[in-house]
Amino acid sequence: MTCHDVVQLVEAIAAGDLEVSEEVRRHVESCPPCAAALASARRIEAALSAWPQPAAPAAFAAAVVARVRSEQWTSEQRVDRVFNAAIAFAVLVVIGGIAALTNVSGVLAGANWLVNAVATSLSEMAVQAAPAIRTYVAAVGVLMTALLMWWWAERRFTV
Amino acid sequence: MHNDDLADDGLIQRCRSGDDRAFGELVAKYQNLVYGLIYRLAADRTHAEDLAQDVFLRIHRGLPYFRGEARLSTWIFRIVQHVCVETRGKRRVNLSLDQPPGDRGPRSEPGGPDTAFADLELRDRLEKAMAKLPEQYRFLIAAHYLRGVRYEALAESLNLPLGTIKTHLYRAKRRLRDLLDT
Repeated sequence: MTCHDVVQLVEAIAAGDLEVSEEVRRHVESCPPCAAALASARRIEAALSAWPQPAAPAAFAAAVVARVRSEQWTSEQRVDRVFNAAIAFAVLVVIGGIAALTNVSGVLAGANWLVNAVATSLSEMAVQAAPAIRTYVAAVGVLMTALLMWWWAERRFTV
Repeated sequence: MHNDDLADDGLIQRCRSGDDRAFGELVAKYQNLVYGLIYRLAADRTHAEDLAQDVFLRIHRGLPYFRGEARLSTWIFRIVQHVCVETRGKRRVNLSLDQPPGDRGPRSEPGGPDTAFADLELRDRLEKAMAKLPEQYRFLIAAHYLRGVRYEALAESLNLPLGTIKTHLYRAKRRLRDLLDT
């Protein structure tokens, strides 16, 4: 058995995974460098086995749970902002839709009516808007869907 | 299935169903493993605590997607590894084996009056040497010498055969010995 062979085994021997064979024992007894290597491996094994087991600080679990809750709250706020933006967008779409369907001159006429307070009456507006009733229903549907999603997200993400 | 795995399954189910206390129990169960491992791999205690918290945040985010194909502890090991590797990429650990061989203080025989001091000194040098090991070796040694961590769990978390894990551990310790003996 050579020094090279023994040096390959010292860690396993030091860890107790390998029994020292008679051949290895004889070599180690007659070879100071291999004996030193085995002694060094055993010292390292002992030091690693006696390595202090670091324990988490006392309030660690509470700190983690607090961080999780804080993260959930932040996420919830983010969801709120997204839904607020979605609703604002839906309202704009509805207004835009009305404006488009009632045509620009109609909008201008309405504005004129507001400015002059007498240009057109509410009934005329209703008559003008009557053909677009499906669009109004669709817009209300979009708005209600957004509100329902908001309500669902509030329930789903609230701790 | 092992009793501990069954208990973990129960904990996971409770966490998924929104039981707040279940996650607290999960943290309490694994906090010493995660903290201990990161403490050994990170440079300082404050850093270790933050990183350990990051690990549990990732666990919390990932629980809905945890399929249970591996043990919970195995999955946690993997997360710890990822967090450590990512952090190591951002911050370098400034530890070195800068103590010259001739400046190691008096040598003492085992059992002598200076044994405790010699042990402390060896441990200190050992930790500095650890910082010089490749990432996987460092992780292996840090994990293997934590109480309750089995060869099998390491093999599973690193996706390596048991024999390979042992071989890597021997190589890692040999590297440590080389570092300490030079």
